[in-house]
Amino acid sequence: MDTQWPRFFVFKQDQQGEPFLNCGTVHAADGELALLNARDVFVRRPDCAGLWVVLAEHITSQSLDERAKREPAAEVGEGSEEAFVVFAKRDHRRQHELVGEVIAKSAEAALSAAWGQFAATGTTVIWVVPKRRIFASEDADGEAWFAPAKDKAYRHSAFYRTNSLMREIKANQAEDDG
Amino acid sequence: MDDLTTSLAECVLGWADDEMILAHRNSEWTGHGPILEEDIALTNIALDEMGHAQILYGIHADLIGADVETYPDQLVFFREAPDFRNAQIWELPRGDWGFTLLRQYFHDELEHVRLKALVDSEHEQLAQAAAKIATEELYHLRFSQARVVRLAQGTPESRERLQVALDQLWPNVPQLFENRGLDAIVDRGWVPSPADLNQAWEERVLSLLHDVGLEVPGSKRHVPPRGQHSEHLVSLLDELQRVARAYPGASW
Repeated sequence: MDTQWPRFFVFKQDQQGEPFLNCGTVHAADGELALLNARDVFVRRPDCAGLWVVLAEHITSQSLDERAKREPAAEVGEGSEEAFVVFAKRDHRRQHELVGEVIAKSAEAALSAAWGQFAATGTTVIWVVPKRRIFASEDADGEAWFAPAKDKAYRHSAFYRTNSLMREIKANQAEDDG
Repeated sequence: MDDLTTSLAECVLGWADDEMILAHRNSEWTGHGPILEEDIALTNIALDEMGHAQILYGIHADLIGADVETYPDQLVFFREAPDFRNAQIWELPRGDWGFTLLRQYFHDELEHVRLKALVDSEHEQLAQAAAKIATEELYHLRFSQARVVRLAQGTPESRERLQVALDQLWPNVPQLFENRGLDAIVDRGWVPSPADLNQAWEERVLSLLHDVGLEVPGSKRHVPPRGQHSEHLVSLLDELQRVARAYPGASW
């Protein structure tokens, strides 16, 4: 039995007006807890203006290679239209970033529209997510969630002399004992 | 130093000790949380509460004319158990995850109602500190509240465990609102009245516990004064103070 909680992809906006970037994943029992966990795992120190989390299974991914082998028939879609958010991976060193939205009847149809609109040079993978599946931090959360991190210094673990200090203490002890 | 200032210093020391002892208990989960993300989250909160303790110890030091930089370390690492002013509820062993989170939730609701009153304190220094701490506490409250709701409404086991935790924690609640020695600084408008806080706290907490279907135990036992402790504080301090006492003056 899989005892892991579901996995959520985390998207973080560093400053107002900048795109949301995929920064990793968290496990959590549900969307609200995933959002809270994302805050704790990814926003303890660096700047953050907004967070989104999306259940992994709600992301539909397509690479350039997969795009070449697609079945165009599958891209028509049935049912009612809805908004999909589009993330593009623009080169292999960059994370997926938010590039815009499309309206479509299915994830496949959304991918097709997204490649048409957002396939800037270098895009290798596109993700689409139904907008209603996104759990987003609210503007009102900003102060409590993100502001406290701004006042705190980020210190690399090497900043703390713990190891060298413990070596000194042990060396002194060894001398005393000897 | 006048009597009023002495009373305030004592009161703030109690709050600082509350934060410090709870933070230490929660820090015991570091590396032992149920999953990595929850472990990181609770560790963050423990660090935040330690930060709040540091601010309050600083105010205490300032009020009694001690050194704001060095005196907090003296208080934490070199006092004996009977000199700690924390309420007993925070020193109880960390128990299971449900116990820890329900206790954290009690703390966050207490901070919420107290800080809300303290930002309007006639004591300027306290009002400023309260405003600073309140921001972070909003997040803590959302964190612990969300988990209490999930555990209460989760599986029969999580619900049973949370009910057991509630039965153990509830008798220790009245001590949080005892008012010995506070009347003068309440009248002066420096700190909110414990009776008002108790009412505001109970309103919020009982409403949530009721909504998630937990049964609140009825009886309240004799309320010990702050400074009276269980044996658990002694073993907690043994761990918390060991390195500092073995290597006095060491710093990192």
